[in-house]
Amino acid sequence: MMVLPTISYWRAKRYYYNMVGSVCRSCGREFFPPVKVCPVCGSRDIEQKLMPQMGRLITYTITRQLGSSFKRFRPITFGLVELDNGVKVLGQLVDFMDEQLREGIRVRMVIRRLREDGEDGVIFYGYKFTPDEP
Amino acid sequence: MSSVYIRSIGMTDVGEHWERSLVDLAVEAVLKTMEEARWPTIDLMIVANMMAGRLLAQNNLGTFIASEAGLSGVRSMRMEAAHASGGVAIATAYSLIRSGTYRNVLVVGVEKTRDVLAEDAVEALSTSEDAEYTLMTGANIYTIAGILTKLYLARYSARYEDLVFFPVIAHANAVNSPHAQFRREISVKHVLNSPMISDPVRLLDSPPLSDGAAALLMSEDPSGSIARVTYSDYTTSTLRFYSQDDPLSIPTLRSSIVTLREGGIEIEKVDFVELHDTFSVLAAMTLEELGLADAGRAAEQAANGRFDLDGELPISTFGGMKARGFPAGASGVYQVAEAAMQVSGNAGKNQVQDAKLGIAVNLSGFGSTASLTAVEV
Repeated sequence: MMVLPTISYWRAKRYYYNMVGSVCRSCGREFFPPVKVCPVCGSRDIEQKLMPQMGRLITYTITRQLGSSFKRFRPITFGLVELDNGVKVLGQLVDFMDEQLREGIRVRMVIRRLREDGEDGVIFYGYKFTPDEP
Repeated sequence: MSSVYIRSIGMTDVGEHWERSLVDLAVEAVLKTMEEARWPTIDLMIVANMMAGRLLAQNNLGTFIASEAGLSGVRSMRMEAAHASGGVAIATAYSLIRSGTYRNVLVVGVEKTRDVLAEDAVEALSTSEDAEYTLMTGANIYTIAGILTKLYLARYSARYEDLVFFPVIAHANAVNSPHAQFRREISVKHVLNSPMISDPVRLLDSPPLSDGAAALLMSEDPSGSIARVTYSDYTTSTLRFYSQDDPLSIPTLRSSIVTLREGGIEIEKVDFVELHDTFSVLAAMTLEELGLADAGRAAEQAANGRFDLDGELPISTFGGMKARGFPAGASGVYQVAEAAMQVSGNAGKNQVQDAKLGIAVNLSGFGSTASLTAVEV
């Protein structure tokens, strides 16, 4: 069982490493994950755009029941983050002390290991978020 | 345009069928349905299923189940819309009959979730979400339920102790539900003391892993029918719940109410609702989106008994996703079969008094697909 074939991951790696999203050149709205057609105005005039690295933690949850691919990392804390351009992203929260986690705090995107395919397999990296205030 | 009738229904118990395969379950439901209707000619069979390809390494379910049920040669296919596969299959059958394309369509929903480890089943159940950008982070349906529940409680200053009356109601209704997986009552205390799965969501506020199959024979022929389907449709939005302007809304359902009204059905007149109550927050969001509860008030109303079997608006009358069980792709078919039992007066101890019109809401994920079916006497 797997959450994603390795090639699918490889193909999308720049989006995981850098959070490259989209901007619609017709209506100006920005999106992450990237889109091919603007879900707001329907335009296909879409450009790639690097998402801001900073945002605000809307809310978070600690998931204790995980699928087989992530079971060994149990529990995992996830945050719903609003980036500074208004785009919302779901991602893991890392490098925090429990008392730091509050709704509304500033968070910063970081690259961290997500998981690996066994001892000899591919190591999957991707964006996570960490508190950016004391 | 022709009306659409439910001529017969058939189902297996929902639960853990260690001794029986996916095809065993599907065939049992099909044979019961076909026997009851005395084997009319079937123009099409639609198999609603979400996970067999992944969990059981079995595809081509349309042909496989038709041939095993003695319907070899019949048009048959598999419909997949994650947890809403059943609702989408019924809506498709409905439109094909109404358009005059087919006269008799057999819909069978089947899911086998318990043949694999729970963590594999959870991963498969979560494939209603975006693999590349949601599941890749490690998140699953519990994560999303946790986040939505937190957002809901914060926005409306609602109490989790009230919200979890939804599983309490579902379990109460399952006690006398012959096919339910969990035929026992639970209390708010039980829910609050059950293990945390993604805070604030507890185990008893999450859908069980279930096996089961349910079938409906839908027809243009009213003879011997038990109920009518007077509306069945579905809409889609995005897999990315978080990128919607308001993650607590189900825009797909909002558009369904408009077409429901255009079809001459007043939502205010429904006598009961079969809810997609996998998580309490979804039960509340659905009732509020349909206008059956004021925004932010559904939890409090659940606590006050409004949605009990003898309340003003009964929900999940045979236990819902929570206690009847959640055979994912089959769950929407169970709902409509249960609604047909209600309006035909065959609901036994769970009979809703004067049940004339019921609706079934079957969602994929957290509303990325929303199907709505109205069942009448």
